[in-house]
Amino acid sequence: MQPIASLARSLHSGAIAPDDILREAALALAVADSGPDPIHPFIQSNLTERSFIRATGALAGIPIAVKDNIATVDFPTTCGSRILEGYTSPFDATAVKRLRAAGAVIVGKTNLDEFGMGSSTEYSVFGVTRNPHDRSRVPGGSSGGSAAAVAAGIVPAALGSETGGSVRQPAAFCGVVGLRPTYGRVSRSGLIAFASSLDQVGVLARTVADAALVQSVVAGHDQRDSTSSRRQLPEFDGDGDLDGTVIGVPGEYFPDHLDPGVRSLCRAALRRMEACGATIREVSLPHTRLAITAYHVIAGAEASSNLARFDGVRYGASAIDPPTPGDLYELTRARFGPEVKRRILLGTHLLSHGHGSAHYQRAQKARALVSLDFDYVFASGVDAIFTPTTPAPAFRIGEHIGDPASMYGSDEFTVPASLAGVPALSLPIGFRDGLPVGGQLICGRWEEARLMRIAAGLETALL
Amino acid sequence: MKDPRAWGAAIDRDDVRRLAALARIRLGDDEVQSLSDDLTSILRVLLPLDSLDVSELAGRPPVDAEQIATTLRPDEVAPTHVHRPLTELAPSWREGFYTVPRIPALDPEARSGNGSSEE
Amino acid sequence: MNDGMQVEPTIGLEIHVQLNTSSKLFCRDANVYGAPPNTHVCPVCLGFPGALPVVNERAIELGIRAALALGSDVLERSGFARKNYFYPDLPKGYQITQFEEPLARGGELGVHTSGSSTTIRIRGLHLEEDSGKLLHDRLDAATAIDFNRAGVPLLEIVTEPDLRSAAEARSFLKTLKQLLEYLDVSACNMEQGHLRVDANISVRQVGVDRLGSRTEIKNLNSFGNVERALSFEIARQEAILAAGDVVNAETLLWDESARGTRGIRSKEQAADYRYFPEPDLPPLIVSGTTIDTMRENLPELPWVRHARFQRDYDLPATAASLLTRTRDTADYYEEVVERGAAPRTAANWMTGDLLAAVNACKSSFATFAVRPVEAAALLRMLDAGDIRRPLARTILSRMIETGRSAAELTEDTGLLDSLDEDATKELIDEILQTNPDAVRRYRAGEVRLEGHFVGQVMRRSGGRADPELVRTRLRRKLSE
Repeated sequence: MQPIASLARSLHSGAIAPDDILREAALALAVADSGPDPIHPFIQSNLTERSFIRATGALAGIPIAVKDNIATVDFPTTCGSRILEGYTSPFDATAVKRLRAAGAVIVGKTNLDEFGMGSSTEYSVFGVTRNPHDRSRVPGGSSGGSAAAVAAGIVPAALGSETGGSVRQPAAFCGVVGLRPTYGRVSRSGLIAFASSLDQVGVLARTVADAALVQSVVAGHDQRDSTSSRRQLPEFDGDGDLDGTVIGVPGEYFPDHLDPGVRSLCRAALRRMEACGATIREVSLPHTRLAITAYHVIAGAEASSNLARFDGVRYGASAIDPPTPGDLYELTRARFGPEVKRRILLGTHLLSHGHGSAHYQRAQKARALVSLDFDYVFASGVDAIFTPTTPAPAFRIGEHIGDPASMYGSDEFTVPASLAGVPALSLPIGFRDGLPVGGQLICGRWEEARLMRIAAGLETALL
Repeated sequence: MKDPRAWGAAIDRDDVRRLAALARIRLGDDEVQSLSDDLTSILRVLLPLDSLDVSELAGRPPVDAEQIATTLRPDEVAPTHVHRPLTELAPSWREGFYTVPRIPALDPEARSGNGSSEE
Repeated sequence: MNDGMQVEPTIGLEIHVQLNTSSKLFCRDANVYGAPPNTHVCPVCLGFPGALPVVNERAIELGIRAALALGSDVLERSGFARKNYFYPDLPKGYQITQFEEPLARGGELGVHTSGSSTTIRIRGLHLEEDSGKLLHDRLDAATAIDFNRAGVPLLEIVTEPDLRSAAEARSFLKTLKQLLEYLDVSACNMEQGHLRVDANISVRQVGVDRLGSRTEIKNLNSFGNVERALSFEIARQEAILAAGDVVNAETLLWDESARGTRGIRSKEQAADYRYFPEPDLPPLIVSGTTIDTMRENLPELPWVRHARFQRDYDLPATAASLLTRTRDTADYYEEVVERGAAPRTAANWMTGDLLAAVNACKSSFATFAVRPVEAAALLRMLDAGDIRRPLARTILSRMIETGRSAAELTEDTGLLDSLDEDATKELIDEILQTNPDAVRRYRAGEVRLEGHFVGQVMRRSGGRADPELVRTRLRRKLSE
């Protein structure tokens, strides 16, 4: 599948029709889902011709996939969970509404770790999604289905969601671009909450320009979300530029356990940036080591509360003929999968009165310190921070299933930006043994235009 | 006796049962054991935050002044546009009501003022 | 413990007040009572996946207004928190409430109980959302849930444990209710559950500083219930102490039919609500200038108005109390006076005939068919001596029946014309004929019955008869 800009040109000139794009997408999906190890990016899809496709709009006729924790009225929204079996949302998420208004064709709902809790897309009741670059490996997660759909050439772009790295990490594993916007940039209305203070709708795409385009459509204030910002999205003209920029490189993101192949690809990327006129500067983000703990305490606590609403009373799956209300709750909620149960119990434990919510409050302080690290660096004249997106490329399916705690490590480089609420983007910087490697760029709050310009510059420099 | 506040304290099977009761999730015996193991190992992997030095935060203004105030909405009644009646999604619906199995009239969980109430 | 022990109850109240807003606290569904079940619901108040709360600014204003009137310290920064628990009437599995950062702290309210006055300190005020309503007897073998009330804004007012008797608690609540009505903060309709009370009670020995074990009674939805439940609980605790036993710290429900309290939860089973700041709502910031402006625009408070009525209109305290009991009554009174009625006359009528008429119509001064301008016109006629009190009463009842003004009625029907001699004679004959017993007694020497006869004639004539003429004619007739 071509980038959106060239698809749009072909559509505009009449060289192709919207249905041609859908046919190409259907073909790509058939290939992806063939064989003994199907990639299985979608929970539900509809790539048949549409009777009506808007001819105008920034994304007119462009097929877009949507992660299945983002509400749509025309597909079920399951969060990959048995608890939302058969649930179709009565309303569209704001991001989806904006995509439709821009003419995009929503072609399906992509697979994910249940409720976004995971880093491998193995924790879905609908089965695993595989990495298009190596079907024995995970696509990353939790937006693994969206990353795989883009990487497999089925759609030029997809919506994902981020809590601790769920867009950037699968983007890195699948060799695509993944953008996490500033917290508050995109409405969370219709995004089914995992951890409200961290959740954001993000974009996965083939190119930085496409990610920027889709982002420009979904971003902007929404009165339905009290945490949504009124700030205007800064204009990004699509051109990359590294000349005169200062790129900060934090030592904390290049630890001893970093995969050597990833390390050398990062060095190569930095050299390319330098060659394009960027100044590389060593910086420090000293509280990085607190981030994973702070993240899991905050995310666990918020998740335990956010998922309380799934009780079988008003919507979704429900226990059959429970004798008491207690049975109704407990049997309905027994439908959560193992990782969701772990996180709910972890969060319940951390908020429980044995602790007087002390853990949660301390985690918020740690979060503030992590956030402050970024503020200091950006205040010192650094335009963007460059790091590896993950410590290693995609791992094997099943590798971490027996040891849930070990899975949490694959988020160590993405979680700090999530805690700070700053925009960050992962883009492909090469391959290690045939597996894609992602580099991460992080900018200051509301600096998406700067982030895009630098990312596009690096993208061009790596061609 | 163990200190339940200690960060690295093990989460034993009784703890898991208590947490599952709070979270209203029914667990099988095998799940109780595996959750006890998993939660204990997760808490050991995570760094303790008890000795955090937060002196740097003292007196600092909030990180982003724009984001610190909630937005307010005018007090207007307006219908919410939905694609299908919300009540059609109810797992159990009778005579205009959502239903659950009969709750005893003087239920221990019943609250009057702060939220829940009985009629 | 010896028999002579003197004990003193200590009572603190938590009052949940339903706010007088058009829409709910976090969504745009109507805040109405009595609608068909589950018709004022949306994804937000039903807790649908992906739906988010947005704060209703009117609820904040009303909360601040109440806080300012109670002299509370309104905080420029407050915040919402989640109180996590499961119950079928609670859609999200948590209630959004203000916890560690309430809307306001401190304050006080003066209370007068049978001659004595005390000041009850307020601990704080905070906003929260109401839950749905459970109906246990509507359906067979199931509890029915109506979510129309879910998300309706509540203001919780918490007192310090300053109350010393059930009667004092009741007076406090009456005073608070009057204040909230004045401020338009709540309609305070008890039948519709606009005011619900939880009470904390402990009984301690006089002279002992430490408070005894405390119990909490929930489910009090009328002032009568509050007083009965508190009296019951105080007596129960006193009896326990007198027997040398210890009161259990527990949560109780008031059972209205059994007229007793019933334990539902001991302190050891205390609920674990796992409070934490609501991440869907950034803190609520109210600037100092906004608070100052609201303070300046606060409506006149009932006790201030009461004092002003006594002073400006030269009214006795009891009349001033009656006239300032509700804001509508006081507004009505002031408009009647402004339109030319003498303050005393107006006060007499509004605490007498007018009030009786309002009550007879099951109306209130806010909606009473005779508006202040009409009432004032009538009372001016009375003040000027154009009509007498019985006639004024007749005109008033005609005004209510016909909706016409006092002036129209007196012109059209000749109500002002005096009865001529013949007509007066006829009336007197009629009255005497229908009261043969009284006539016999009069003639037997009970002359004080004369007043009775005069009164009857005057009433029958609608006040148009000349009382002097009636008196002479009556004497003449009775001496025949």
